[in-house]
Amino acid sequence: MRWSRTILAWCMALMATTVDAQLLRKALPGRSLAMQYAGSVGSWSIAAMRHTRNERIGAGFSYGRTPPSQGGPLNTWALRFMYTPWQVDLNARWRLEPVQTGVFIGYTTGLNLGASWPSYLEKGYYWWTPNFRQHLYLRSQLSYRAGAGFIQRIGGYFEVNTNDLYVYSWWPNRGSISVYDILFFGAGVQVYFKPYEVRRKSGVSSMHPQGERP
Amino acid sequence: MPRNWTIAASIPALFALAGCDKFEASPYATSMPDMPEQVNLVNMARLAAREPFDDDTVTIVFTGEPQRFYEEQEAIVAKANSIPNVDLFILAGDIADFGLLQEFLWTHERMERLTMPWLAVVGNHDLQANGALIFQEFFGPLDFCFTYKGYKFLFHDTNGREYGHNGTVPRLDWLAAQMADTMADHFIGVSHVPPFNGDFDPALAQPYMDQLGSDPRTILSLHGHTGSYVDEHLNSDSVRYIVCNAMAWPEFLVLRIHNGAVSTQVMNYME
Repeated sequence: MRWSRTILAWCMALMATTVDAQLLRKALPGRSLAMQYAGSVGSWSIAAMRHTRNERIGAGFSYGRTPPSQGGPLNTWALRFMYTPWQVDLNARWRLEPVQTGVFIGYTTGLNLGASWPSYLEKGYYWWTPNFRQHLYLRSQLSYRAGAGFIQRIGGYFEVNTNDLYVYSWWPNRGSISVYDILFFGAGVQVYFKPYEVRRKSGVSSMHPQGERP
Repeated sequence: MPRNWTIAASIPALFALAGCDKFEASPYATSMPDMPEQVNLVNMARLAAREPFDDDTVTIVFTGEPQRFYEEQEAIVAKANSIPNVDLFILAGDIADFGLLQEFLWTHERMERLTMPWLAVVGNHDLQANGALIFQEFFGPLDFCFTYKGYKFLFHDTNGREYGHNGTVPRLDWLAAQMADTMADHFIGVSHVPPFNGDFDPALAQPYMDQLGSDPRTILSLHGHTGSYVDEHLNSDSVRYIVCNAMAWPEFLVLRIHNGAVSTQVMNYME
């Protein structure tokens, strides 16, 4: 059962990178896969993302696993949106994205977690959702331009995130709990693949491969 | 220019080195490296280590519902530490609001500043998400007892609604077994939901009170949950039911018990 979930998650990640929807290809031609340690979406997680051509906006999802030895077994699926306001090309090979930010929504199953409150609790008895968490995150990424082949860029990132319930706990206790107390870390490696080519009706490519100037 | 950015890039790396416990696998994880374990058992051992005793009075600071009131936790801890000869600090449940491990850690961090042993009973909020598993790992069993200066304290789970009022909580058989103890001079019940509240299993409310009242050695039944102070005898027996204020309210109780007689003092942690 454990392995079947993992395999299912891998299949979903693969589908996200290969889905052949023209709209998605046009709007989000960039593709990436990431492997992440911690970051509140599982001890280890994989993420598949699609990006705009300039890679400033991205969206994707992840699957993470928390083993029993680290407080699980838990499975976390997350839907993630990312905005990168600055891209700093340090030189021809290295790029720094000092801030990448956005939200992710985590859905966690396992142990005693349920997606809804038990029927024996009156509606509204507890106001929050039991296993959906909304997270805010900030990330810094340093990446290496590998070339114009299928793998175009490889980045290493460090991320801090917090979630709705932590913020809700922190806000009335700002004199006792610091912002640092509600921030939690993750780190990962993200591999950017060659973006989809969008062809005009004439059949001539309108796009240039990533990493090459027109 | 590149050098500046290299420095900027190293800042996250420094964060990463700052604390490995900050790498959170999941907010719902039930454990993390180096987390406190069996805190109630540790504090019971601290109590036992106080023998031989200087006196036969038991002084208890009694409060509850500390969840999401971390500033107030700091204030009450400071106040409790200023009260002389306190044997024990009791939290009447709801250590966490959402049943998250991080909440247990935040409360624990503050309660550990107490100079006296402290014990917590499980509240309904502690049972949310994976909270029941966390509570048992973090604090210990949901039902437990110990005897101190001849008083047998019966900490137990009365959060019947969290089990669908299925007739199993509170565990009356466990309570009866503990009260069969002929060595104890007196019994003191400690639980979260009082039997006169709708979140107590209604089918068990009267049998529960009957069980407590069946032995005149039972002098107190301490509770939280409702958020406001109650102190009364509900039945024509020896049991005095006391419900503490929620910690959001600055008034808390100091109980002094001598020869089975209980005196209460309302104190204010803001003063």
